[in-house]
Amino acid sequence: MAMMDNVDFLISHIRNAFVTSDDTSMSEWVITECRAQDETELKRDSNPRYNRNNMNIRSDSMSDCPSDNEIKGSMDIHPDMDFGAHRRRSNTAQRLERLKKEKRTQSKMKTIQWKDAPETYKAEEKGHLFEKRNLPELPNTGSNIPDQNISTTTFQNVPVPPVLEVTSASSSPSKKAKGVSILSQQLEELDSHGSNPFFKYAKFDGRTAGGLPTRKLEIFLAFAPPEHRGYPMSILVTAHAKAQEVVGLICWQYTEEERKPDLQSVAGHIDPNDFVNKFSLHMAEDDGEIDTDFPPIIPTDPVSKYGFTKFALVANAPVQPKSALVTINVPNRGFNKFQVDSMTVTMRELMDKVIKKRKIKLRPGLNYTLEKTGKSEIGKPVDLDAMLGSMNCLEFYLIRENSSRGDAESNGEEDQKMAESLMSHQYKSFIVSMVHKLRTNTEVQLGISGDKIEIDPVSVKGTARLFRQKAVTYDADCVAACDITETKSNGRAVFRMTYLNGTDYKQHYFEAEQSTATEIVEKVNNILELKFSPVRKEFVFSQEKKALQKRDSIKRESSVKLGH
Amino acid sequence: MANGGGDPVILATAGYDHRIRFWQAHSGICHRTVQHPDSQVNALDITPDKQLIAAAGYQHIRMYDINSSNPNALINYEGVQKNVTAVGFHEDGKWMYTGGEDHTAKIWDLRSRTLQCQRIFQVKAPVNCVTLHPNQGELYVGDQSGSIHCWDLKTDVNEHLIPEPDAAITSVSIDPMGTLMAAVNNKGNCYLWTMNSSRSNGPSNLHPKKKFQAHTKYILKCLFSPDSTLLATTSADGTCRIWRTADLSLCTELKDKAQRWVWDCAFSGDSQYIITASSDNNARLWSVNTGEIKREYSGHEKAVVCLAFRDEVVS
Repeated sequence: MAMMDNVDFLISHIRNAFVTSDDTSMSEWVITECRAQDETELKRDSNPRYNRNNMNIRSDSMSDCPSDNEIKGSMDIHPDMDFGAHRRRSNTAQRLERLKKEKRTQSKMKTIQWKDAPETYKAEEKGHLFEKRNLPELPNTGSNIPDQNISTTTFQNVPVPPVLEVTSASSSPSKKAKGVSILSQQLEELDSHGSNPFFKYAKFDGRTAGGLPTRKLEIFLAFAPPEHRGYPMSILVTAHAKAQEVVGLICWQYTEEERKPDLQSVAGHIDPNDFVNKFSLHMAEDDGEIDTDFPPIIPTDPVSKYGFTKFALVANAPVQPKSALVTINVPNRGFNKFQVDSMTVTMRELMDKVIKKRKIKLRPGLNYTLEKTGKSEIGKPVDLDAMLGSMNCLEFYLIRENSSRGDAESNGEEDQKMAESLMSHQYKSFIVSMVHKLRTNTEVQLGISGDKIEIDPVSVKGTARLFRQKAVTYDADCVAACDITETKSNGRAVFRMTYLNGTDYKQHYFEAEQSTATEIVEKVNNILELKFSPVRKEFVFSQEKKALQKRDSIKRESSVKLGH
Repeated sequence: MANGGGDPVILATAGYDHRIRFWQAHSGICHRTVQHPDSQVNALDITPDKQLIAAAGYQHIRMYDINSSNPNALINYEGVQKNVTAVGFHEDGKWMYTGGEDHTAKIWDLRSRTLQCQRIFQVKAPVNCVTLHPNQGELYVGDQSGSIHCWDLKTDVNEHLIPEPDAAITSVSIDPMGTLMAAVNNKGNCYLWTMNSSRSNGPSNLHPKKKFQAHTKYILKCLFSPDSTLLATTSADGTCRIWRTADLSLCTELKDKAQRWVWDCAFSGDSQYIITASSDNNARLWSVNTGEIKREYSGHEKAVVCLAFRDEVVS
């Protein structure tokens, strides 16, 4: 029986174990029964080792199982489960192999099976094996306990015994007389000459990890005397350790090995709980040269993330500027720039700085957070307890909860538009289809520049000469309008260009991909707006007049209707 | 006791992560880890000569060498059904006693394969704890049904008592002078008896002394200090409480926010320190008088449910 202290985990485990190997589906029966029984026994107390009634009382079930979700979720079927197409070898073969392996490791292990004694126990024969030892009589022991003379073996009528004065009175002097234990001595000794301040990182030492996956790393010490610098210190670290913890382990081992110069003289006073800013871990070349092309390893990254095993430990790292300039944009209200001294400052500290500087009043219920700059980061608040170094970003937005960057971002869009419109005078050509009323569309090249709009036929072999579109050029001044008239479901759009031909407005219809069409229409309209030629003016005016007339006529119609 | 050249202070912890860790008790550094494959460890004990450590698991007891770096067990005791929940040794290393969920307490002959000492004691419920009287002649077996069986080994006479019906006995402790016995149960109650071993043909006489509610939740372990002045109780409420045996007043409560079930404990030789094992994957060393944490033994990846500790007293 496994003594897990989590009922849910156990039941889930049993169920999964059954489901994968049980095709009679009897297992569900068992579990249902088990569950029911489980609940009835909730009310009954029992040994915690049996853990039937833990669910309601205690909160001890968190660590032994990864998470509640994992328990409640459906079972995982791993490819190595023994059925179906995945089955490679028979159960017997696997079991035999396992037994063989066990046998190999156990070859040096003596196995002793329980055997009952050959004959029944007789005190006369074997009593000497179980002789009682006389305990030393001590003056201040239970002999002073008042004799209770109680015949009953229950506790019902036991009077509370008076305090044993002898024991309590003599307890403190007797301690002194007894002397101290070796453990106490060792503790005292350690406390007096100071323990290794990096002690808490010792647990990442792979040398004592006993079967856990480990990684061997070569650490070059940048602060060692030059003649030693080329010789790395090797450490064995548990595979899941983070860079920060590796730094701690290096410091621990360095101190433990009593290497010189000692770390205090290298890095000044070290607070073992907060020394990450004193040291940084860098990638290193095989000869120990620090690879300055890359920033230091991010302290919260697991080292296993990096494929290489050679690092350099730098004290008070001058390799990378520790300070950085952080920009925090406040939507609608510009931005603040901060000089930070260390990449280990948390995002929350940064945010508090801005809020303080801006004198933003924090009302209850109004929470602020930070977002990284960049469109893909919108709506993704950063972890405020994370360090700046782990952000890979130096520009942030201060966002109120349930709010957005607002027009700070749209300003950007407008800027882009402005840039585009300024570019619109440059020549650009597009391949579009020209729409004719009576015949099939023809491909043309539409060239647009600040002065002219050219339509050039694209020569297609086999097209009858008759139908070929003639190359025409319109002066930008005689173009009156350009707009999209139709968007098709196939992703294409039809747009229209209105131009003045003599005294009449004429139109050309073109078809292109929607994005192209939009771009052309915007480009042309930008040019028109900038030029604002008489033709354009005239056209806009006539359009407005038309619209006005229409409205008037509608008005009149409705008033006529009302009059009836 | 022969020391065999090893460290005079030995601390080992184990639990659900199938590993036994050996610690430098005073510094908190883990200096060795051995695997205990296939099973969690329910109980640990160190042989009197400090050469071997016994780990009780599911269906077996394994012995590991303390003073070498051998990662594998030296001896494997098997032939037991279900979990072995308790293990301990006769002070001269003549025999080993175990208790298990197979409703028995067993005595294993250690000296040879002569099986001279093999004994078995049958009860009617899973055995939760087995304690050897300091006089080396009586075993006290606490079971799931709430009985404490007092088994006089030489005469094979046994008696049993039920301090509280329907409350499983989780631990029994007898003070080193053999004058007090404590038993705790899963209701949070602690029972105390005075003992005297004047009887020659049976287990010691027990006189009920006191019953008190030591914790509001299960108690997992009780233990007298080597100087008999203190009684520690560890509980599912995440604390270990230390009581003065003289008047049963609370001496110290050992409490930490991170600490969860406290499964096991051991006093230093001078009763000044206590080491506890908890479900939060850590063991801790506390000062008995101040209740402050002196060391934390962190490294296990799952609950730590048992520990074994040996200390020596220098005069």
